[in-house]
Amino acid sequence: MRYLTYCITIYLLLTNCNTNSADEESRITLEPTSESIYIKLGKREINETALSQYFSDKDSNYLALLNDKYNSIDIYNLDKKVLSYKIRIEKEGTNAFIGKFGFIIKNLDTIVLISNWPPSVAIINTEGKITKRISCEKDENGKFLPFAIPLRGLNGIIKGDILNIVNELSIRQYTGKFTASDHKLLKIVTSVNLKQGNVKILPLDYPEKLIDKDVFNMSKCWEKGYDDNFIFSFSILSDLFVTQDFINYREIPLETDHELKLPENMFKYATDLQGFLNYEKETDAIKDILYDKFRQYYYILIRKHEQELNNNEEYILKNTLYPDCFIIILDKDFKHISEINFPKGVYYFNNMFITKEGLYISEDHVDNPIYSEDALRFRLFKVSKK
Amino acid sequence: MKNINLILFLGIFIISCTSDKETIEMDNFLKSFNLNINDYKVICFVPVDGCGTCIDPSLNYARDARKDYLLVMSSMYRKSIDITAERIQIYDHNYVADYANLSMKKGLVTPFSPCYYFLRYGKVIRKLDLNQTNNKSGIIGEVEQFFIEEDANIEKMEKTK
Repeated sequence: MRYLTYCITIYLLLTNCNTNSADEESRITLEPTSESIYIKLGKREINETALSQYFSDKDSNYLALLNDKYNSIDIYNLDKKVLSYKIRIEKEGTNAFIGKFGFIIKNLDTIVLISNWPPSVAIINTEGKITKRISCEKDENGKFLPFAIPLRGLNGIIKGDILNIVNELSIRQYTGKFTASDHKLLKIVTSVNLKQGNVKILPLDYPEKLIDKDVFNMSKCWEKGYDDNFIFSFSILSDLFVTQDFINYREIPLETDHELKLPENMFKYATDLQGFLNYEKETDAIKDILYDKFRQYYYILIRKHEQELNNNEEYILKNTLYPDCFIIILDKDFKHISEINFPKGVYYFNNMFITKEGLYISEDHVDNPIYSEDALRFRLFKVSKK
Repeated sequence: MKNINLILFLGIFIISCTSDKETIEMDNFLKSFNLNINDYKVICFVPVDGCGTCIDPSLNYARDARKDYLLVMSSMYRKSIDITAERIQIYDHNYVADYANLSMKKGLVTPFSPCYYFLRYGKVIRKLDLNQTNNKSGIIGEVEQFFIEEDANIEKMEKTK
């Protein structure tokens, strides 16, 4: 009898401990704080962007924004709250860089431009002078794959001197279907050695799960995370795909409290942009993956499907540029921690970045009552316990 | 036979109603900028955040266009319109800056491609949405041809007076 009592006590103690630990994790959340960033913008600066990047250099913190209206990269000093550099990307002349371009900044001396077409990489200085060009039209084995447009979620990732870039998924069939032969031929990533200029298509295949699926307009995103893991997502699949060696994947089902309505069979919208945008509103998609190296969490940004459909042209455009999103927090081992919902029409999820302090999310949503074209505003969110 | 007549009648009725609806929408839109619909033969709406290859032919044409050709630049961003006007170097009297994006709210233009309205005596007689075609510069020829035909018609009418 005494033995049985001991067993029950120990069992209860263990169960209780486990419950506490699980409860603690599920209590983790992202809370808005009273801390914010406000930067006044000039006539030629904008707060709507397809690409932004936080970086630090010589003890200063910077935020770089792609300004596609002025074809420039605008670099703001976050400590002084001013525009420090405006790097104009020329379309003609000796410093010209053509194509849809993105950028990745290692520091102020290594600002890398990536163009999707013709596939090329360049290093530019803060005066707009191109100091190095690397043509990526053929890799070292004479193979060629065009780059995807390197914007938010799909930007290049630098590790040491190696710049990794996601390739465009250029399927051979005009039916939108990803075939077994596409799977054999097409690779996801090209690596570029920024010092030596070598270009190499890496052996990583697309997931087998995509074979025979309609991949037309399928979006992708990726991020470098904990322990040098590279995490990929494909909008028509609900799993995350994790690699370290660019040879094999680990498939990790994305846990969520929401029932995701992933897009499918989008080839029927090949000549109907309006139809595609309408359909997009009805679906969810992983829009971005952010890794918080300071706290070792992943923030998976999900674009939410619309509950009420509205066919007004302006509404469709606004919904495309300023989608309603929620965030899934995963730990470094991709274990589901919690999900964060946001009020509608307040935050602009195309512009967010992580610092030592926490996650900054732009408040420049056009429907936000404080919205102004002449300001950059961010709210600091901190990971906390509920 | 009766059925065919009825279908024809309904068809003409629907087309006429749609065209009238477009004229009313257009008239209301222009009035909000203190403009008179009777002053224009071609009105071109350009969503300035659309892709360059889609919108540039229409923007460039407007720079040296006639007075009865009106360019409406629309966007939800004031800066987009100002930057575009600066880029194509268009003079104030040649365009309307639709800062409130009213034309898109009213469905007069889609978010990505220009939309042309051809008018006769203040009434919309034809609409050409470039969203429906891949040839974004061919429209300029159609606009020129329309002006030639309309000028000839007016000349003919004045002679018969």
